[in-house]
Parts: sequence; structure tokens; C-alpha cells
Amino acid sequence: MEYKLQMKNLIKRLVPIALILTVWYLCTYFEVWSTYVLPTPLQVWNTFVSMVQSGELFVHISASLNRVMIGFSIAFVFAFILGIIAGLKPSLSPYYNHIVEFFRNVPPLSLIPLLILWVGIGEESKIIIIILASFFPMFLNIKKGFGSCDYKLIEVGKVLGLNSRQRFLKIILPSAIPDLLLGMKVGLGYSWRAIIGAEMIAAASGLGYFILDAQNMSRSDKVIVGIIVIGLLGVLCDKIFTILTKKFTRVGGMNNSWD
Amino acid sequence: MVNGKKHDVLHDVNAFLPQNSINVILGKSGCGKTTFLRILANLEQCDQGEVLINSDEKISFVFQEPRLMPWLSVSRNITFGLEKQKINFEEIEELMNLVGLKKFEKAYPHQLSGGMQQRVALARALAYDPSIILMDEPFAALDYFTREAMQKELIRIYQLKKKSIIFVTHSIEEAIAIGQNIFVFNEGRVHAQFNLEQYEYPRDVLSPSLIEIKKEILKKLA
Repeated sequence: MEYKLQMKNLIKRLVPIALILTVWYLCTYFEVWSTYVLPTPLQVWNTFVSMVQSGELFVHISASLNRVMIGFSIAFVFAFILGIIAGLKPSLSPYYNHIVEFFRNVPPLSLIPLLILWVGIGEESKIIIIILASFFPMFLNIKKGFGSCDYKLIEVGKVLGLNSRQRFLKIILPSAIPDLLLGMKVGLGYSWRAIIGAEMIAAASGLGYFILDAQNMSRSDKVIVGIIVIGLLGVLCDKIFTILTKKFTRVGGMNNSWD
Repeated sequence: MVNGKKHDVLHDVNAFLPQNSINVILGKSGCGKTTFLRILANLEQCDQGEVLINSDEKISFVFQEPRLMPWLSVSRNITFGLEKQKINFEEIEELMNLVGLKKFEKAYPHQLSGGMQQRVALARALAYDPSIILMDEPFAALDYFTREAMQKELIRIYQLKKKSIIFVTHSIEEAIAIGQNIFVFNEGRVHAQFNLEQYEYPRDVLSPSLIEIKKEILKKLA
């Protein structure tokens, strides 16, 4: 039964993809645009295969992934520490709320001109972009997780004689985990989007650079390969996080949340 | 504090709650019985008067709602207040048998019914090995039959373990069914006190003498 259902869902997923490929193929077949602007699906596939074989694609993927991982990890450490403080001490919010709101609404990419002037076009400027892009969603979710712990559960800790450190570790932290993981997932998505943009402006490697370079060389087939790879990697990252979230919150038998 | 105005919830509460017995605090809602219990549990401070409890007494609390940790299984919810090294697994198993949850030790709170969750909460309070158990209308949210079964279970546990129990309720039947001493609260003070120690468990709340007591309590509450 389960297997049958999975097969059915797989077919449902494949139908629109097949449809897109067909329309794409027909467009190139009737030369709606010249193949110079819109290459055939087969051309794109061949380019993809040859780039996998030469290893060129992996160089760019690993360059982008590397930046994301470094920037994301740094942003997470800051967001975690500041999120705990902000969540547990809501009285401090007047000090930082307006600043957070302000920076949350400034796209990190708009800071690139300044960042290039300040730290150059090296790795630092890209990593700072990722930190700025992923910090706010993580900070806000982590803050919410620690701030919204049910007071009734904390009282249970009090009547069972737990001190404030034990109450934090045994009640507040576990109850914040779903929000913490959600923040990480959103933050990773944001940093992935930001790195592509940053690499298109100032970089010599990475998927963003690869797309821009292909455009300069008038290789639209390479541009399409780059877009597809970015999309697939994003989906993959998201999937990994969804699985992790399930694994960590499965202990409660729930899908995404404790309650 | 409500709307910036100070309300005196309790005044002139003068009661001696005997050890190793089931003391029931009975009153209408808003009469201060929960506040009284929360002061005993040190969850709230009283600004006048004092509570005299031996400092070596361990107190645990059963709330109106089960308040279980949703991310922990039944058995880990029961041992929640204990230090890992000090958990005596035989005792915990005995406890789970006592509250009839042995089969559900690996289940999670959301998989249990309200009555079962409340039994887990009771087991958690007992696992803490308190000498005094405070109970704040623990069966109020349960249906009639579950409620009756839980009352029987509480009496059974009391007879086995001989703890001091302070039980808050607004149900006169419940007070008469389980209480050995009943303190009637009205407008923030102890209005009357009834001693029911001579009545053996299980009690028939419809027996003439207990109905007589019920009528008296009703008069005091009015």
C-alpha cells in the first residue's frame, strides 16, 4: 500500500517535469528562439555531462558550498548566543529591536560596494554577505524558540526542585529545538541565495561566477546548467534539514513541532 | 494585582494540616484555594503571615493540567525531576504498575488520553518521593468515570505510601469521597473544618451520614 502510494506520488511529480521538457523541446524544435539563445535539452545535458567529467562543475560547487558553510557556521554561533539572550531577557528588546528591524530590511547584496572597499574582493566579503543574510532569520527564530517556552512547564521544574541551570537545560532548551532547526533551515536557504548573488558581482570561482562567466562567453547552455545545479543543491540542503528536523523531533512522534 | 489594583486573595487563613492524611481544601472558584496551594509550594509569595513546614519536607505538586514534557516518553517524564545517577529503576517500574501505565512506558504524552496523562503526572510527583503532595484540582478536567477511577487510585496510593496529601477541589462529592479532613474556604478564609477520619474507604457518598455532611458543607459555602 505504502509502496503503491509512493509510486503514485512519484508519477505525479514527474508529469510536470516531462511537460516542461516537452514544451522546451518543442520551442527549440520550431525555433521560437534561436538555439543560440535557448539551447535544446539535449545540448544542455551534454554540456552537463562533459562538465561533470572534466570536474569543472565540482570546483565551482565546492567553492560556493565552502563559503556557505563558513559563513553559515559563524552566523549560527552569533545567532544562537544572541538569540538565547534575547529570548530569555525580553526586557532588553528596546535596545536592539529597531536595529534588527532596520538591517533585516537591507538586502545584504546592497552592502557589496562598501564591503569591497573595506575588505577587498577576497573570501571575506563573500563570507560577510552570507553572515548578514543568514543571521537574521536564525536570530529571530532562535529568539522565538527560547522566548516562547511554556511557563507552565518551567513551573514543573520549579516544583521538582530544579535550579535555573537545570531548568534551562532540561526544559527551555529542548522546547526551543523545533524553532532552532527551523531558523537554521531558513538561514541556510537565505545564505545560499546570497552567495550566488555575491559571486556574480565579485568572485573568480563559485556557481554565481560560473553563470556570469558563461553569459560573457555567450554560452546559454552553461547558464542553464548552472541554474539547474543551484536549484538542485538548494533542494538537497532543504531535504537534509527536513530529515534532521524529523530525526530530532521524531522522539516526540511529531513531524515538525512539539505541540 | 489585577488592572493595577491590589486584591487581597487570602486573609485569616489559619489551618493546621495534619501529617499522613488526605486534607481537602474545598471552595468555590476564586476563593483563593489555588493561591493557598501555590504559596505552600513556594510558587508564589505571601506578603503577610507565614507557612510553617518542616524544612526537611520534600514537596511535590500535581497541577490541574498534566504538564508533561511533550518531547519525553512516559518513563522519562516520570523520572524527569530525578538526577540520572539516583534513579532506582525498580521503583520506577513499581510506580508505573501502581498507576497502571507499564504498557505505555515508551509512549509519548500526545499518544495518551487525558486521564492517562494525569496519571503520568501523578507518577512523576510520586517518583520525586515527596513527603507532602500538593494537588490542584488534578481531576477537574476529566470525565465522571475517569475521575472516579482516579480518586480510587489516589486512595489506593495513599493507603500504600502514607503520604501527606493536600488536595484542592471545588467538587463537594470529591471532597467527601477522598478527604479525611475537609477545610471549607470561603472569601479567602477557612470557614469550616470537617473531620471524616472515621469513615472507611471506599466510601459511599450516598450514605445518609455523608449526605448530611454534604448538606452542612453546602450551607457553609453559601
